[in-house]
Amino acid sequence: MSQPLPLTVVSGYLGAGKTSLINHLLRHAGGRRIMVLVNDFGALNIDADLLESAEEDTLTLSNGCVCCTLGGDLFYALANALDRRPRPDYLVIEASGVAQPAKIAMAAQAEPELALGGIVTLVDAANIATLLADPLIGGQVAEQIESADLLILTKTDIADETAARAAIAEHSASPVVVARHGAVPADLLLGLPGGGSLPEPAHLHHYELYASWSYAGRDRVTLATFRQLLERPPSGLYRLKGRVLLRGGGALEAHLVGRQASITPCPEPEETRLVAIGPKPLFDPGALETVWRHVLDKDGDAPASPASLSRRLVVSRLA
Amino acid sequence: MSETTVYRARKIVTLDPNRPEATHVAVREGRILAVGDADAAEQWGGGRLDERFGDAVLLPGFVEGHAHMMAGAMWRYAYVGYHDRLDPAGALWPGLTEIDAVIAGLKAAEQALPDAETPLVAWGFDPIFLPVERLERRHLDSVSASRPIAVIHSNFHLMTVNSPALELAQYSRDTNVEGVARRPDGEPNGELQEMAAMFPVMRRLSIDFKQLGKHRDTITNYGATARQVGVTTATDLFAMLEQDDLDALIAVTGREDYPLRVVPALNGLMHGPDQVLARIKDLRARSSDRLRLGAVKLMTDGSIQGYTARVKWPGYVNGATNGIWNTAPEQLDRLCEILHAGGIQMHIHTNGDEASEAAIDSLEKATAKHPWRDHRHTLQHGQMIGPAQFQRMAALGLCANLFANHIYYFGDQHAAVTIGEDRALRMDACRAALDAGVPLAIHSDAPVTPMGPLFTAWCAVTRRTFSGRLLGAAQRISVPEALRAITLGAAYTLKLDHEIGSIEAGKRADFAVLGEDPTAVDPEALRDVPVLGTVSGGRVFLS
Repeated sequence: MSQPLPLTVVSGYLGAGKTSLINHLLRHAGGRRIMVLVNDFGALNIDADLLESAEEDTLTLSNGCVCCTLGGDLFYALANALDRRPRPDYLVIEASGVAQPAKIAMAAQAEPELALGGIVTLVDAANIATLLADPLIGGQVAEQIESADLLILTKTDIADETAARAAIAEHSASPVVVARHGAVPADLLLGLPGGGSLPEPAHLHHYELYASWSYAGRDRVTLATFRQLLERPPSGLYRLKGRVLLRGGGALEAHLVGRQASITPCPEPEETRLVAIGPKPLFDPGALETVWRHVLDKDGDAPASPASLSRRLVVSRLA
Repeated sequence: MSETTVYRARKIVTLDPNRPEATHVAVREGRILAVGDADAAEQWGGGRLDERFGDAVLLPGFVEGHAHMMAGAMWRYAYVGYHDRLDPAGALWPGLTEIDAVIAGLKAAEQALPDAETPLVAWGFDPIFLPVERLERRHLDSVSASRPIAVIHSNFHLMTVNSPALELAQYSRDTNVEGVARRPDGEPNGELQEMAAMFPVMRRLSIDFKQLGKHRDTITNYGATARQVGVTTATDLFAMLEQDDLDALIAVTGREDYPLRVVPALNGLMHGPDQVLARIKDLRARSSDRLRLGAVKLMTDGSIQGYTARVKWPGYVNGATNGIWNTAPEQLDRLCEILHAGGIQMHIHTNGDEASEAAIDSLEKATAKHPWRDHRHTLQHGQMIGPAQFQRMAALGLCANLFANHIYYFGDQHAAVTIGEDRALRMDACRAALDAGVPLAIHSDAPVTPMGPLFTAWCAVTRRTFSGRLLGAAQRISVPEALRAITLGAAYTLKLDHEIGSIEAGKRADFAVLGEDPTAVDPEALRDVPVLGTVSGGRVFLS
């Protein structure tokens, strides 16, 4: 079976800036073929020079991206995305202003052909305190924040960022980044491009919004220590992926996004390769390097057989 | 001159106060020419006497104001529900009241499948009524251990599947997905809860509700289902109405033998409000007598039994957190304003009282800004609306279509575990609606509960629950009031009361053909009045 299609959920209450973020993502896709499912693409405003064709429910972009309407039925849209040939590299769903992003994410966890690429929740710094206090809608807004793997604070130019961060902190310990006009790099939202291979060094450290770390070498690890790394990664680490060689033979493919991580047995690659990113300044690549060296140096663990893993295993993380 | 047929009946209950009862109705060009006795058509030149309804009682064709086309789709699957149901061909599927009977029914359906690969899909199952033992994969594995099996529960939020179906979805003890229920030993027990967990199985078994909904057989079955219960006009309340849906609807409803007038309401949330305005304009141009397009359905909250309805203080008796908004109140404000200003009638789903209040608030603002008195926006379900909200609705010209069937099917649960005794007594408050002067319809929400307006009327009249309890005597309405709610009342909420809903000169010749007089039987027996067929636009459809 081909690699599962990663699904990123973009959530946030009305007016939080979801459309701006998706506009920016489509304009700066970096060669990725992204399929975006939106509620209403009347608001998207795709530049004419980027638009290849427009049908009632589908916009095709000249950069390989596609934008479709959700059409009121998430699962029908998901089935369409999975059946689409060629299948896109990434799927992004713009949740409605009151959607429960965790429920959309559940679909990605349940469907073997999908992989959860994280829940990103946008928060409007100017009105988040009011919204959270609203007796009708406050609960759902809080839930969107609580479900988020990554929080994106918008409109900090016209609002008190510190107060907004404090309001968020009451509901989430996930990393918070500030973005203007939806300018969040695709690398952070979707992961670094390429199927497990290391990106060009020039590509890394490109954005001032995030920092990255990578490793390539012939070292082997034990399942137990590697698993510990996924369970308790250094703070600010948002994404990690790659393949690691196991002591005693075999290899694991690892994916970590926000609060979710999974490991799957895989054929032995030539070497262990890992790449990680996280928002600045929360993520410190030096800290990850220290932890990684510890993983490599640690011995004495009984080599665990990957045969004990029959298929994708979700690693539970400590909050 | 066109042909005139004069039907004689044992009795005609007209719902027209000017002539409440009659024995003869003259029909010309699909419309009612005259009503009265044997001479009714004389001043119009007389007509051919037709005696086939001589032993029957005619009522206006019933109007189902809140149901879904999906009710016609499920019959391609085996029915394994607790209550007896008739399929569109008129065959009785007896209720399966023990888990062994469900398994035996599944085995029979499995034998009937053409080959060894076709998945077995069943529907209508409700574990509430089989409390002794929960249906699990092992039961279904005993039906077949090789063919995938999925049993869809009556609420459409759950399904139970067998081991081959779990394997197809790659569900195992390693699966860590909310909604994949487990046995104590950690293996999935076969029960899948909510769409996210059900989706991988549905996709691999090709169970696609959206495709089913636009299938021509589905539309045909919907007509047959309606005809069996005396319905001549039924809504499809939350329709996608994409181009291929519409083509199928136009083709099937246009057939001379199609017995039903279909009133779809467009899902008003699938596009932005400006797009909805444009869609409705296009749709209206494609309306015909048997396909009435132009209304919109909006959603506010979820369901009470699913604890997703937005309820006011004191909330749910089991302490469940308040429900969810499918549309944010501020978004509802905007939608209501744009659609109301655009002259589009809205049917708004509200179950909890907080959701009803939000809808009333939105409509109050919209109606204050844009004058349009005869909008007839309708709150659908409105299960917790009380006198105070009904008064506001009356002042704003809103209608209520209440979910009377819930009293029977879920009333016991509502009293015991959802909103508690006090508020369960005044759920689906038909009496309060009428007393406040709110135009009233009552409905089945088929396929959630079976379509059957006489049953729905019986629920509103007797307020009997499944356990036999009388739930809220003060909210009962009379038989004539209930009959009005399933005819003229529902027609009013669809803006069709000038054409249907009563048997009077000038209206469409739409009749329910009954074996007994519902105004004469014991009210407790209202649900047992036999339906012999319908007359739709003058065309006779006897079962």
